[in-house]
Parts: sequence; C-alpha cells; structure tokens
Amino acid sequence: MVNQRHNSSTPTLTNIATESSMRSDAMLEVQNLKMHFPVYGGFFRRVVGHVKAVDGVNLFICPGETLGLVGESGCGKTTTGRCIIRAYKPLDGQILYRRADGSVVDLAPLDDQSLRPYHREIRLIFQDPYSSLNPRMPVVDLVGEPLKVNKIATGKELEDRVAELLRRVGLRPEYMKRYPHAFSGGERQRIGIARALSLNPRLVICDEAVSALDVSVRAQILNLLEDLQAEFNLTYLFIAHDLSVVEYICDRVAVMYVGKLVELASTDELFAQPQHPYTEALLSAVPQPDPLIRDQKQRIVLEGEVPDPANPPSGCYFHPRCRYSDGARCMNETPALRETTPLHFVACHYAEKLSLRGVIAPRILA
Amino acid sequence: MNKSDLLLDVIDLKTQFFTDDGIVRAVDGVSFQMKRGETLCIVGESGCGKTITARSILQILDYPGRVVDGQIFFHRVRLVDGKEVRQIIDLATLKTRGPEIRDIRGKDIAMIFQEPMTSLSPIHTIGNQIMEAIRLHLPVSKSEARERAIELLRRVGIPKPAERMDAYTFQLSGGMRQRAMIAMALSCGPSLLIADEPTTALDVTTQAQILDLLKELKDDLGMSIMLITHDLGVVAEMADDVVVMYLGVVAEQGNVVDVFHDPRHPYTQALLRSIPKYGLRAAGKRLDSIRGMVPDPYSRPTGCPYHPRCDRMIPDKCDRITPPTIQIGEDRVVSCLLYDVPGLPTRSYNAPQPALCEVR
Repeated sequence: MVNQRHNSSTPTLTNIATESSMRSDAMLEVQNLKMHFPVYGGFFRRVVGHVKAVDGVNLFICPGETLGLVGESGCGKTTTGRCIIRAYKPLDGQILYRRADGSVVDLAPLDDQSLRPYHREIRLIFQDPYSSLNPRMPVVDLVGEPLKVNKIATGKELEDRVAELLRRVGLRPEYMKRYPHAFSGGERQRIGIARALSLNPRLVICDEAVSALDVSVRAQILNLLEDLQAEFNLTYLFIAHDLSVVEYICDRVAVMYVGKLVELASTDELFAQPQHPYTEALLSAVPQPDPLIRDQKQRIVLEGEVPDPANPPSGCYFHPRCRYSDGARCMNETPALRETTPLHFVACHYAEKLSLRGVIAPRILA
Repeated sequence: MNKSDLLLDVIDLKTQFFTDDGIVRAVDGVSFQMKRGETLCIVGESGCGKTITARSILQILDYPGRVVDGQIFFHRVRLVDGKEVRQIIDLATLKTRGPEIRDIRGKDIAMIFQEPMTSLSPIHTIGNQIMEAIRLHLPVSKSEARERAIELLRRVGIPKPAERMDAYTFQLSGGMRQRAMIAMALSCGPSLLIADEPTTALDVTTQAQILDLLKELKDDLGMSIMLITHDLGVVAEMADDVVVMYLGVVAEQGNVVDVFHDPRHPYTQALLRSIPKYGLRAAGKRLDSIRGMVPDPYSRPTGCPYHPRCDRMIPDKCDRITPPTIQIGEDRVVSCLLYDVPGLPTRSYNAPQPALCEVR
C-alpha cells in the first residue's frame, strides 16, 4: 500500500520540535501533508506510478471558525479531509492537533489504538446521505452507535441521548425506530449530522455535506450547521466545490489545485481580491444568480483540462493553463505557499505583480 | 407574439406514471410557449417534473409513464427541394414508436443528457455513434458522414477530432464526453436542442466552457435551446425566458430579468431567497429556507401544490382551489391565487385553427 514512514506512536524528537512550531492561534495545523496512491499496471500488476492526490498541503484551522476547502474534482480536497480524520495514513507531513487542555499532538504517525480519543473529537459528515447510512439499521442505532462503541451510554440512556440529538437537528424523536429509506435526502443528511455530533466533537469535517441536496433543503441544512456551530462551539472544515455556498458559510477559504494548496485567505479578501490566477479563473466561472450582470463579467475560460495527478506538469502545476505564465520560471520552479499580505497565503511567483479580478456582486440581495 | 416566431406550444400537458402503488401525476397541466431562437430555462427542484416535461415532448418516457392529456404543438420548418415547408405537428398524438416521431427525434429536436457516460454507448466509438445519427436522418455515404462527424467534433472544440473519432467514451474526460454528446445532437441541424442538466455533473470551470459553447452554437446555428436545470446561477447566465416549475405545474413564467428581479409567485420568491448570494454574509444576513420539503409524489396536496410550504397561504382558499394561470404582463404568467383579482385576465389557450394546422 502506502510507504509507511511513521511507525512509532511514541513522541519522537521530530514530534517535539514541531509542536513548538505550531501556530499558537490554531487548533489544527497541517504541514506539508502528502498522500500518494499507487497505480498498478502491466502483466504482474506492479506499481507503475503514484497518483499524487495530496502533494504538500499546508493549512491551519482556528478554533470556532469555518475553513472552506475548495477545488475541482480530483484536486485532493476529500483526501486531505480523510487524512485529517486519519482514515488514510499520510505518506508524509504533520497533522498537529491541539487538544482542549492545550497539549499538541501529531496525528499523522499515530496507530489505531492511540488515535481513538481523537476519533471522538474529530468527526466527519459525508456527502451522500443515501450511501453513507446503513439501510438495515434504524436511526436509533445509526446515531447511537458511536455512543455504544465508546461505552458512553446504553439502554434507556442511549435512547434519551439519541432523542435529544434528533431534536437538535430538527427531526422528530418518535421516528428513531424507522429505517433510513423512510426519510428524504435532507432528513437523512440531518441523521448524518446527528451521528457526527453524538460524541460532542470539537472539529467536524463536512465533506460536500450539502452538495447532494436541493436548493430549498440546502438552505435549511446550511442554517442548521451555523446554529450548531454557535451552540456547541464547533470548528468546521467545509469541503465543497460550490463557491457560492463556501462564500456564504466560511470565514476563510483554501483553494486547491492538483494536490497543492494555491491560495488561503479570508473569504472576503479571497473573493474580492484573489491573488492566484487559478482562483481568479475559478471565481469568474461561477454563475451568479443575476441576469443583469451576465454581460458585465468577463469570463476567463481556462484552456484544456485539469492535469492528471499521476503525471503533473513541471514547475507551477497551473502554468500550462495560466494566462500570466512567463514560460520560464513558472515552468521550472515550483512556487511555495507564502504569506504575501498578513494572513493571505499564495503559491504564485507573481502574486504581488498581478492585479486580478474578484467577483461582481449581484444586485439582488434578499 | 408573432405566429411565425413560435416554435413550441405546450398546452395543458399531463403525464402520469401508472405504478403498482398508484398514479404519479408527474406533470399535471403544464402550459408554456417557446419562441424560435430563444433559450428557455426550466428550473425547479428535483421531482418537480422538469425532466418529464422534456421527455414528454420527445415521447421518450420510461415505462410506466404516459402522456395522458394535453397538446404539444411543434412548429416545424423544413427545406424540401429548396422550398420552406411549415408544419404544425402535435407531438402528443404521435405514436411513441411510430415513424413520425422517429423522424423528428434527433433531426428537428435533439436532446443531451446529464451524464454522458450513461447516455453514450460504452462499446461503440464516439465517431460511430455520431455517424449513426447522421446516416439515420440524412442521405449521405459513410465517408461523407465521417467527414461531417469530424467537422462536428471540431466545431464543439474537441482537439484532434480525426483521432478522437476512434475513441471510446471511457477514454474521454467528462467535459469532452459532454462535447461529444453535443456534437451528436447537432449532427442533423436541429431547430430545438433540449439540454437536460447538461453541466450538473461537471466542474465549475468545465461548466463555464460548455455553457459558452452552447451560447455560441445557438447564435451560429440559429437553434433554440430548452435548458433544464436546478441551478439558478446557470439560469441567470443563459436564459431569455424562464419557466419555474413546482410539483408538476408551472408556478411562474416570464423574461429572465423579470423573474429574477420581480418574482411574483411565493415559491419563486422563496427559491431566490434561499440561494447564497455573494455579499449576503458580509451584510450579516441569513439564508431564508423554505420550510418542509417537496411532498411525496403519491400524496400531492390539494389545491395549490405549494400551499403547505407557502408563507402567504390564504386559509380555506389555497388548500381547496387549484390556482388558474394568470396573465400579469406580456409573456408573463403566474399561477397563484394572490394575483387572482378581477380585472386581470386568466390565460385561455386556443389551439391553432384547423386551417393552419397541416394534419399529418
């Protein structure tokens, strides 16, 4: 499978060194995260290459905020999320997590046994409410399973806890004996949220949590996520491809392209003054719900397609499609993610020299 | 509206599915008109009957669905021996497997689907599939059809079209597959292209490419596009006219600017309030959501189908009376009892006079 560099779960010298280098304001800091998947081919199904799904991602999440992680399909945003909950063991890099008592731990090298306390604190909400719930389990088991596994509650107490959780996410507790097929997509997503919240997590990773929902139901779930965040002091990593949803719910946004982070900034700044050419193109491609501005905006149509993450281009991964590429430095030198203005991180050689366009606001504001 | 401008006139269309559990009234009295050369967007949530409306037009409903009532007048213009021949054909009366509708499908009205991977054949090359469509409708030889198919692939922006002719669908990316499907739909120069969620499965930058391509092709070839989508951003980007559907009925129809900036039906208003818009959060506002959800198709509410979720429901009226279609402006209709006041005419549809209608 994956090269296993980290074998020990005991803190090593490197672990201690990095703990002090973690941002003091962050709850979770991902440093140089790498996750490669092997590609098999040939007669003997030998490893012929690696898909570099995540290839050096750096980001941090502060307590109580919502960080958006956006990008096109295949850019590695889901893999990043799955590395953070440690569904995957990353090839390289650190996932520094600060616990409630202030101690810092690197999740990347831990084994299953030592990860258990963190699995309770970091939870995941899945995209597809149809395939992520076991159709043969009633709601009380689906939501109560984490409580049972972690030996927190059993019997009547468990049912009371589940009823309370269901009420919190806007479902009627009387329905807890029903099976998932009796619920609509929006209600199933609420079940998924209740399940994620059952262990009082601190960090919730929402992996495309509203992408499969209809417009009117999506608004309900977005509002629910906001209410729950305020009530339980949750921190969200909100993985999505829909930029209008991200703009609405996130405090800061990270943009990924072919396994790398290209820009990370506050939502307002990123949408108004993007500094990476890919972000600019992505923003210009989002259809705005106002027919009066459709002629005003000049859309930047990207040529070609997203490169194959098994065989990415040289230098800056975006250079073959970039309008501003110089054809020399961009082709040869991979730009590092750097802080151009306070708390605005960009991976572009020419971030300061370019003046890029942001989003034109629609005139209708309900 | 000038008669010759009219392309499609759907009058009181009803499509039902006769299942073992009962009758699903998927489309329940839909009426709208479409002009030649325009882009009409049909928008609504899943289950509102927008896809079934489009499939009823082409008579490609899945079993056990059937058009049970209503008319679909298609105003066909064809060149026969250099002369323009105009015909008005009621598509609803044609046999679903008859030669008449087969002559229209793919030639006068073409359709592209949401997921090209499932609607294109995985065991034929895209070149063969496009050539098949051409040779079915046009009297051309195989080599002429091949030339034409290569030209079409080039037209929709596929690089190295001659090589791609021999590619299978799984060798192409999502955007390229959708382009190949558009090329196939364009192969016989249709006057109406029905696009059913053509960009829903695509990434936003690819979506922008495909939408631009559709706009360009529409202007160059003078076709009309019926675009079915749930994304109000795409509607604002593409539409000339908009039809808003809810649970098998038309809630509102009108010009795109009118519908977005002066929505009349409470459902349209609520729908527009429930989408995140740039700047909303900075203004400190919350999304308004519509309470409840789209009802189960077996238990349609009586009266106005939207009344259980409507904030402006009139008790004892909306839950009993099916709202009439009310004309509130030129080319602008809304079906809501709020606008049912004396003085505003309700729209009555007149079927084309028999003299105008060439019966086939």
